Amino acid sequence: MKTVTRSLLTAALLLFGSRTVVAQTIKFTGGPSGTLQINSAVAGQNPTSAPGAGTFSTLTKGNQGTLRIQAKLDQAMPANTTLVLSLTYPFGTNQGAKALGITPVDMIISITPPAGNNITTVGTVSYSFTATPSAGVVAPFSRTVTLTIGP
Amino acid sequence: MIAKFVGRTAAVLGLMAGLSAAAGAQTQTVNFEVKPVNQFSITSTAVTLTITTATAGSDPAPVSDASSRWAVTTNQTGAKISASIPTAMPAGLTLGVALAAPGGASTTAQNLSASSQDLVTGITKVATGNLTVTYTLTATAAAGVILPDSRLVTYTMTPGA
Repeated sequence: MKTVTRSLLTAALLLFGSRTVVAQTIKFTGGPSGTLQINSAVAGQNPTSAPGAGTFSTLTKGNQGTLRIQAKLDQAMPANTTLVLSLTYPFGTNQGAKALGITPVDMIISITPPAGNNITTVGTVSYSFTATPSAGVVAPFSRTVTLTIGP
Repeated sequence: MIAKFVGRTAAVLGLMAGLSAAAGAQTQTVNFEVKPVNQFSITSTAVTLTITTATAGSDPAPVSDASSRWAVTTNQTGAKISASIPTAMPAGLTLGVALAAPGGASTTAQNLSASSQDLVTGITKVATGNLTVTYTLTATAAAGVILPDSRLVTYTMTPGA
């Protein structure tokens, strides 16, 4: 009897726990088409940056406290190149454009999701790939951008 | 028994706490490339050089103009700037040009001709502007009086490697 009670309690706690974990999700819903390619400059200035755009969406549940969206790369950018990310999102405080690295950076903070379950919110993603002349010619490469939403 | 139950409950709560802190995440692959970039410009309208004086016993005094500027961007190594004029200067008259070099590059003043002359070499991975272009017109006494004339100077940037 004691064992059954304990098992039920454990199961209930686990169920509660697993419901918590899906309280918020984030996903890219569109990305930059093709390669962000730098191929021009105004004489006397650094090469012209290459833009890229996309979208993302979040699925949130109200009453989860404040959340934040962070971004990071899987590995550092090559020397003298930078990937700057800007997000738009209707909630929270936007931290503006951020150069991405392997350490997560806050993009949107103090997000209070709207009340209700499984509320989908759409945001936009803007990339700007920059390189100084010192970067030289850089062969095609890729990086993985990770967006995270959480406490 | 109580200790065992408390321990198990704590473990479950710990698991719960871990789950609560877990964040939703997703990744996106972004592709990049930097192609060779070589851009060069000269900011100037027409330049007029007029020789009007001399020191007695010497050829007429050369005149110079350093009002033009040039700028360059390259992400390669060893680019160069050369220049030429479409037709030779009149006899006894010489048009020289010198470009200030960006850091690390070498400059050589040249008298312009129909053959291309290297002015700046070794331009490497740089973006810089407001560099001086200096034209110098020199005439010998034998050139005599020359009516207004003009030459179009063509500059060429040869990319490096």
